[in-house]
Amino acid sequence: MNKKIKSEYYTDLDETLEKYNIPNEAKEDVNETMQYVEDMILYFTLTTLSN
Amino acid sequence: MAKELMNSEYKTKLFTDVYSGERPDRVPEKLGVNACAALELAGYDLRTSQYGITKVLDATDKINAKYDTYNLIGTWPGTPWLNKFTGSRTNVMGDDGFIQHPNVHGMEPDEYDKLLKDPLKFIWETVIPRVFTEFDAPPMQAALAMAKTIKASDDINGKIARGNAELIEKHNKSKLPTFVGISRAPFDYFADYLRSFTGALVDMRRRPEEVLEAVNLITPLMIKSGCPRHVENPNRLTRIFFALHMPTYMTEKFFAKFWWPSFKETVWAIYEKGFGINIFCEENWMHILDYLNELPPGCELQFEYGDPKIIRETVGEKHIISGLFPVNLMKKGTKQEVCDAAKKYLDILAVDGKYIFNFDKSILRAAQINWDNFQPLLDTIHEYGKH
Repeated sequence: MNKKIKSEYYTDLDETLEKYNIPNEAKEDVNETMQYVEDMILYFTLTTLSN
Repeated sequence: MAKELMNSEYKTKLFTDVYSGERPDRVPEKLGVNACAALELAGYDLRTSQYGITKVLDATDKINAKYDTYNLIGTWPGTPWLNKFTGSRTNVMGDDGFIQHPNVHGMEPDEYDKLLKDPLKFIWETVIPRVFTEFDAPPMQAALAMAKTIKASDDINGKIARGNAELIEKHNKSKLPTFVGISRAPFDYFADYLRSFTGALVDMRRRPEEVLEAVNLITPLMIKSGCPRHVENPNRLTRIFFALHMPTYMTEKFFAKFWWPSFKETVWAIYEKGFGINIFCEENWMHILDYLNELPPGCELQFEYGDPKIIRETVGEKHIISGLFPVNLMKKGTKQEVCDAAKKYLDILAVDGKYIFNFDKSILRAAQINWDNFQPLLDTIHEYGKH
């Protein structure tokens, strides 16, 4: 069971494209940069800021 | 007889072999020694030296020059610089410089509706400002505090990591990272960070449905935490670490209902993404050992207490056993007693290559052991542990 994270404080890749109005063709590129940061901030929240 | 010289590649292969399911040439050892112990041995004051980098790396250098462990020891001290930037109420320097963890909870019992509606929003808007005073400020001041926190975490930890990498080269240590990320059992996150140890146990009885829903909502967060994006090609050598806190403080009935299912789901999801799993089973797991066989194969299970024979028989086929060697023997025991005990544990646990020698718990402070026993212990493990 792989549950999605639904939150005002996290966007998955599709949500990031939508939030920042970026065309779908840039999905792979956005995954390398903006989504990477989105995921690393989540990791930071759940480790460093949950300590 | 001259000691066999083992280089970095040899030591690394001991660990890559055991994590790959191969029998290593020797029993790997991964003795837990905290940076605070190294700092104290080097003569540094914990109250000041942990604020910097130079003394921290110098202490790590000195302890690794003295003891030929397979891994770099004496690393990663407390981070008081980070605690000051955040205003942490949960990580506070004690009078002797060791970081203490006052019992502060992030969530009140009447806040379940907010948590369950959007856990991350609740964490950001309520828990973080409550636990970290620097973020309980006007927006741009809180933003500046967060910017400093993130920059410090990346840059200062980055410098320490690069320093450690140089010391690994210098001292011919294993290059395999002990772990590449951490996660938690969802119930442990709920207890440790949100409701506290006592609050969680009380709520489990008074508001069971809400606690279960909270744990279920936290599960995908713990899965995501356990699959960090900075690891580009996860494999069984990239290990995710869990320290398990709550299970031994519950009856098995509550453990089976509230704690185990979400933990099992978390571990399997991270494993299926390709990562290896390292678990520190704190306290005594003897009465719930069988559950661990429901986890994916090849988990490294470090035990604090327990019968090594029973542990080996129960979970040793499926998993890698670690821990159990009593660190307090290093203080009270003679050199002979320490070496004889090490051989006893090796005889019981090192039967098929699925074993990593370690203490039951890490050495946190220099005064915790008699350091005259440390190298003899290493020599015993390195020689007697040859398969």
